[in-house]
Amino acid sequence: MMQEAEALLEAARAAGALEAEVFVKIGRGRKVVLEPAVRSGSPPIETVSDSEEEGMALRVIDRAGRRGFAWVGLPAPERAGDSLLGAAFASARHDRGGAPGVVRPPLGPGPRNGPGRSGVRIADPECMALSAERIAALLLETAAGADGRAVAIDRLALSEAMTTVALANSRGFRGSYSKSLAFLSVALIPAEPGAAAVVEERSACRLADLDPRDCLREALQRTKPARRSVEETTAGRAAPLLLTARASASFLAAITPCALSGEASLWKGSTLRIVDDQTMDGRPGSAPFDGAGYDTRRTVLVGDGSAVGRLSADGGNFIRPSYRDLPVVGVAGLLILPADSHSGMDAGSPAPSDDTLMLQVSAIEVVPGPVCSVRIRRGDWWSGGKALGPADGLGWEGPLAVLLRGASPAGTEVKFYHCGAPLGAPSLRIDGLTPLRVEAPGRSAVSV
Amino acid sequence: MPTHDRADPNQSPPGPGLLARLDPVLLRRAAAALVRRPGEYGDLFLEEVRHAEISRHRGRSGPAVLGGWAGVAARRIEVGGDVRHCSTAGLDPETIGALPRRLRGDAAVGPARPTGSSSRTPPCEPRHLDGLALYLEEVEEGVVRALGGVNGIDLSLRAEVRSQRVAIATSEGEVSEELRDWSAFTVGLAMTGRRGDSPIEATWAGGARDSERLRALHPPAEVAARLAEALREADSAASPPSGETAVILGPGAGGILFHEACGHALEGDRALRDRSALAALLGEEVGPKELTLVDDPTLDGLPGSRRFDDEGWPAARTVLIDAGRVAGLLLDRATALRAGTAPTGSARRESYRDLPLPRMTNTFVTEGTRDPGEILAAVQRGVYVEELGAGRVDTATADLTFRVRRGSLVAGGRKVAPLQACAVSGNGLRALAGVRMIGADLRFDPGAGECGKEGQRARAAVGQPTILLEGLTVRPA
Repeated sequence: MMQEAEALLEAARAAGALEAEVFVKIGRGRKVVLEPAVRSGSPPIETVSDSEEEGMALRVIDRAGRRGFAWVGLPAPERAGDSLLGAAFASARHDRGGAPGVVRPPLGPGPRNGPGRSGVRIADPECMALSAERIAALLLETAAGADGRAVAIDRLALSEAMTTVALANSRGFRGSYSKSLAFLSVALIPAEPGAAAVVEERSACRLADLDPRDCLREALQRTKPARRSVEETTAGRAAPLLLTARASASFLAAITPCALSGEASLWKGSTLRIVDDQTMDGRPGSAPFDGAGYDTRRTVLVGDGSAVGRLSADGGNFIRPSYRDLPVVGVAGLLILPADSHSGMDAGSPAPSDDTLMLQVSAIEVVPGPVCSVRIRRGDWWSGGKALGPADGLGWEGPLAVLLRGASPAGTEVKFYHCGAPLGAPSLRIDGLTPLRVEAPGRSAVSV
Repeated sequence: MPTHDRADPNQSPPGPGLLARLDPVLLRRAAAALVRRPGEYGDLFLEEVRHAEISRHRGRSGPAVLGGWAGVAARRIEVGGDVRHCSTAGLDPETIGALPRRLRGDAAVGPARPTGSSSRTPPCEPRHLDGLALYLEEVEEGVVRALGGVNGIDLSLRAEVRSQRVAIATSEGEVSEELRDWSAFTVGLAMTGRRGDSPIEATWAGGARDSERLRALHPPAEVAARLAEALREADSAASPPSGETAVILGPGAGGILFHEACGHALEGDRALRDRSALAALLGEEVGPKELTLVDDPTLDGLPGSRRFDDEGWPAARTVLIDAGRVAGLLLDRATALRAGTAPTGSARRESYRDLPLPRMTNTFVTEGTRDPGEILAAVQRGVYVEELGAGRVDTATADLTFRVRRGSLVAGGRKVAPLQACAVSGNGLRALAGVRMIGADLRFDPGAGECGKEGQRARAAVGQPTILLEGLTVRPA
């Protein structure tokens, strides 16, 4: 692969490119889907799909300093080299240049001086070792954990893929790596008429790191119908919200734009530490170098009560999902760092036996905005070591900064989920909110 | 089905077609070898795509991109409905010939590099970029003229061409080929409004089969003038009402609502899994007799138009709601097998890498009889929607929410002021029952629409005449 890249780089230089970069990606994958809900009482419909893909992309800076980009998806893509070269230069003819006075960065780094992040463990040698039949059996075992009276399993999907990436540029960078990916998706249809369907997903580099039973358990938790909340003793009383790690992941997914915005005032007083980390072992967003060849890094976005960093085009934060994509600055692996030590009050711990009123929350909906809203989809009031009753449907609305200031890590361990993107969070505690009684089941009132 | 080749004489692309480069006998033989026993179905889906896109933002270039791929997929639907599918890059005869063994599991999964002649696919088409760049430049110049300059205005433009050539060979002996090209553009303007409190925005988008038609259907000067007008309207917009009110969907403007709320709900995969409140009412009356909704890929020149679907089944008009009654589902072969009926020619896949799904093509409410002016005059207080934006529908409950991109406040039977950003929401079943009047002015959207489903994108058209609805709620967005 690297030889092919070298040949294309040489051809680009010979054609007059000031700079050139070749990106090659080869992958193969398998996906098994079971659809139990289609044939009630019969074995589920099973779909097995195997795929292979190869593609190559070329970026150039031509003699006039203009940038071009072209890609091709073919087996043995080097055979399309001439066409790719012509296309990249044709693309460059349409580049009007950057903003006046702004120096445009090079296409990527020069040669590495050391091993970089080559030690990051992201390739599972067991990837795709399981047959489609074994994967289907694994999914069926998972499905057996659902109570068919309360919920129907709409779809279970498990996929694995192994990809190899090679990148070379005219500045001397050469790099390649292999990465395995495993993805699990559980879609449920609640038996309750009119209830919304639920999808719960997990992703990792190793299939063994996915926990189908836990994924199903979380999905089942979210399909449970809302209970009528207890209001008599709790209405209007401030209480800490103790979020399970799963609820914390929903919280993180919702506030991601705030974490990326760099808006310092939002985080004043917050003890949250939020990072984007492309260097973690076993995580889908990790890699030894980023989409442009720079060493990957952990970027601290939020810490010390401020927005301390941003994803940057200086290198280390480029993502490139496919050879068809240009490298762009983007999130690779977002997580909230856990507490350094256990706080003693955590959604996963026994409730304290004193009279402290608190709310254990296992499913939450957060809509950030100038007026941020929080809705507890599933939660319970606790006091004196006893559960007082449900808090489902209670809500809070107020300034986003109040919510962020009140949130702090409670758990000492990060759990990983896939909420539209891979992310990780410990259990969290949110102080300073007064969840208000509902005016009608499922509708929350506005709070102070 | 009769056995014959369906080449594509009307849309001759430059260069030879797939069936001119690949022996149809080889394809037929390979497709026949995909099935193992009577009652099974198999197909090969061959695809060659050329892609070009260009963008501009604040006078600067975004990336100009040229690309292309070629690949083939093989699939078998077994007697009980189980599916086996494999896909690989390349269109060489030896790759295609090996697919039946790979589908049976006799050949290992792994990149199968051709050893013989290389693919003759020219993967990129630079001429596509030239046409797009010229078009965007003319739109940009038009906007500058129409607004008297663009100081303080954030102008972004994007255009793309996708040329897709597909060939399908089925185990039933059918071999078909078609070229499906589509060009589309989007232009957006944003500036601080005269009130200075929040930015105002205007967007315009359109599409056509090729760049010549794009220019003819959406002349750059006209696009620029409409954008400038939309921006001025946005700057003088009034607060929307809040609460349940009469909603007039202007012609073409609200087709997306019927696409999302009715079309998706009547796609076979959702409908046959009890995930559709509307499909549960198949055969029942859900709207007035004047209301008919169809999906029709046979109409010429729309983004969903085609002669056959992605399983080689002939494209056909499907009536989804007939005179107010839920009348039909959109079915591909897999869902038709489950339903015990024939497919409706509704299989679509984004690329050879994806499995087909039953999906809409060109979906629209047929014309009624009312004069549009009569409909407007009938509303004492309400909202006239000029353009509906992104929305969300839960097909299980039929609950829906859509953003109104452009609209007007209606009072006393006339439009009195442009509206600030707002959203309409409600329940789709209630909205269908609330259809009061349907105009005689069917219009389709400008042709830039894309539909997303299970991670696959597909070009699709929506259309409708002017429609008066009751039962929807309007609120500021």
